[in-house]
Amino acid sequence: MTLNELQIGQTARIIRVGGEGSLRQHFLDMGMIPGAEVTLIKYAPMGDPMELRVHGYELTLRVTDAKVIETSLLPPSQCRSDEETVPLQDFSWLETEHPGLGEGGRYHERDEAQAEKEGRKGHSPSQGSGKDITLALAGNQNCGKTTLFNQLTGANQHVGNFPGVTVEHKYGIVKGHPNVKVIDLPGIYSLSPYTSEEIVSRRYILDEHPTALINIADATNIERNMYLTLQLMELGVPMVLAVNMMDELEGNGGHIRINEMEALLGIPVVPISAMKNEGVDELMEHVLHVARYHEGPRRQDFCHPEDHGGAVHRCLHAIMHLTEDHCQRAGLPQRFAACKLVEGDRIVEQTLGLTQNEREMVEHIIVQMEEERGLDRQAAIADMRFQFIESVCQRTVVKPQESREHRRSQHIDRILTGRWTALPAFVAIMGLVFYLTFSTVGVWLQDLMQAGIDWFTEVSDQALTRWKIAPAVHSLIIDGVYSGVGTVLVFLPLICLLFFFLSMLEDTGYMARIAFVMDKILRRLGLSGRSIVPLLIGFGCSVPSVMASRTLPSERDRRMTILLIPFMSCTAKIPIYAFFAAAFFPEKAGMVMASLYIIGIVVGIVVALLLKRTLFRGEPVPFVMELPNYRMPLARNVMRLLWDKARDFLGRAFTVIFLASIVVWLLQTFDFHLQMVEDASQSMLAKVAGMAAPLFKPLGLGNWRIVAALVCGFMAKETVVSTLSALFGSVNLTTLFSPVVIFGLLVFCLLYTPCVAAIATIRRELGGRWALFVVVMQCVIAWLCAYVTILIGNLIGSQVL
Amino acid sequence: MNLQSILLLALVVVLFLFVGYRYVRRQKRSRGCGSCNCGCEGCDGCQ
Repeated sequence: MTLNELQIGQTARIIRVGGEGSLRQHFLDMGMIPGAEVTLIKYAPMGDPMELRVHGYELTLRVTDAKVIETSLLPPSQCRSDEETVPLQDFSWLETEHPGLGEGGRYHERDEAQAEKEGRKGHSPSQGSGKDITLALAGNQNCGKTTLFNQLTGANQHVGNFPGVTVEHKYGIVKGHPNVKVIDLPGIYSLSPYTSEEIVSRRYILDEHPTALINIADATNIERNMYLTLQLMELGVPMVLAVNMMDELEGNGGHIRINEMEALLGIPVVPISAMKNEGVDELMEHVLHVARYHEGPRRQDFCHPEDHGGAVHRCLHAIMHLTEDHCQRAGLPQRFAACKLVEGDRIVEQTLGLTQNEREMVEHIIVQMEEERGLDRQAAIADMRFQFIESVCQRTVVKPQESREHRRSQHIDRILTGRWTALPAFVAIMGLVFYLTFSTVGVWLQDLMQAGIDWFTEVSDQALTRWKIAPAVHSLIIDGVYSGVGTVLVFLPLICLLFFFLSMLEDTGYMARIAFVMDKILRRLGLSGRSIVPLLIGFGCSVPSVMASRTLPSERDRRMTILLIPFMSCTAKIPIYAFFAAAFFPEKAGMVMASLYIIGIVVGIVVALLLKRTLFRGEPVPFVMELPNYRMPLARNVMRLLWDKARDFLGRAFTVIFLASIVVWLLQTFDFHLQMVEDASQSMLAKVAGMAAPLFKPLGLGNWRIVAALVCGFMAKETVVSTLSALFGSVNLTTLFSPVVIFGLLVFCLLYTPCVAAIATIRRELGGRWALFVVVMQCVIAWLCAYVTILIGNLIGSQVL
Repeated sequence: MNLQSILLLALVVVLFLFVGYRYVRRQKRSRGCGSCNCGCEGCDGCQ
């Protein structure tokens, strides 16, 4: 039977993993290997994808992908429970003495020359205590790398409870060690290039030659995490295994025999709790030691010499001998290169530059291994690694009972991902977020802010009058700077509040559930469930949202997601909506705001369907994702994020908006002869903006002031409001425009080109042509939608009248 | 224009130039994303 035929609660053993290419490799890397037991936990509300338990953790998979995995059903009596004792395997080949690496003593007698001799090619010859040291932090997604990075460096990087928060490597200096730099790499499951973040990490480790690696592993899921550990050890770089979340493991009755694990792996193993800052000093001691003394892993051979006649063992060693000279030339570790050649890694194959004859020999060796082992090449390598891991874990890991966190997650998931409750829960949660932000708490905080700014403006105005400041300078300060910056500052509470809720969704682990629940809907639009995360972040800010799209494993999905992000209304547009809603729709401000968000989403859906049928034909990539346990967000993290967002917004208010306010004031106060004008319609701004005004005439927005504000909005969306308020001054806008036209303007602002920062990020991610495409596409769509909105509005209005 | 008006105007101009210079420098350094808080490498302007 295939995996998709499994009933909820049933357990089966994997017989064969079908499929091809990097996806199949990813299945294997995630532990879906022949012989592994999988239990079907549940289906998403619309019957797809499915949630499985394999190797003690939860994985999501689409039903169509599950069809390629052959399984045999296990009767309940044969299922292995976590508490069950498994007969010990033969460990004789694993036996080694404790390496004593990273601890001082045994290897301290070595002099620098000896260390140099043993040093890996590409490293600097010696790393004495005074030399610069570079440490790379590598580990699976969501295992606490960024938390450890923040502890080590005292940095304030954002951490979340969602796989793939870190999308680009970040670096910092270790506290108390000015010559030690640490790099936080994106989370990866293996060194096979599946997603772009895996490529970023692998390229960094192989090309940049960090002095040592800190491999951080989640103690509560050590088996899956050690799969990457073995691959890192194959690189021969000095490394330390930091077993994180030990407090959680031990709190649930689990234990790891650290000394024994060190002896079996041949690398230092340090138990830590990154969140509580426990064990971090000891970790630093060990890692600095292995870095300075070039103490590489004592074991790189994980294949059992007797397993299936030693088929995999002989195959790997034969290829290692055959490619030894190529590895030396290419600067690749032999064991790593051999494994990757067997797995069919094209990048490594090209780097090695094997001759035709050598390639054929390698192929013959692999085919022979496949025959003897009875498994295909990728599965054989994955199986070899997982067998070794199982052997080590049997000997050293006392598995905990089901953790409190996991039990709690199961209970919460009954509602939040339940068949009938998931979608209503999603709608209710998002509705509550927007209601609290735009209707109750947010508005109260905004009024408070408005009162403060009004008071400050009043006091300043009186002071300027008292000091007899010249009218032009007075106007510059009050009508230019105060009006511009002040109008935008009012919206700070709304923006902070929306970011607060988005960070809560991410930190609790609910964001991953949204991806799980929404996958089937998004697939109809040509996207995968994982795209929901960048799209939701897009409601905060387009820039991190575009960056977050890097977690998507296919270029097609990434491009399409990035093109749709501008349709998610970012917080910078809130001031525009709130400004006009308060003036034109005071009774229905909340409804107008909500309708704009909905229009953005609906237009996004239409564009997605068009893109799916034109530029992005084909199927979205499979949805293979880990579901983390729910966690209580740390107040420190949330406060840090809020502070970051507030600082960022204030930074913008006092840079871009401050500059734009002054420039707009100058342009609207002077004409081309630099003479102060009485009537703003004679100003430079009026003349320049007037040239583009005919374009907006069909929308009823042919007023040069509106055009000038929209152009300024390209710098930062908030400047639309500051410009309008500077240009219109105390003029009552309701006397100039009808509510229908203003709603059309709001639709235009919602959809027209993203700000310059977002476009620059899109350019960096997709290239200049796509960035230009986004600008043009968004402007055309915005104009058309605004036109249609006004037409419909007028039609409804005339019928009502 | 009295002295206090000239002083105030000078202050605004200096502030404008200073903020403008820093903004342009940050844009150049961070390859265009200086006004965000994305935390990308090299974007030290917004760290």
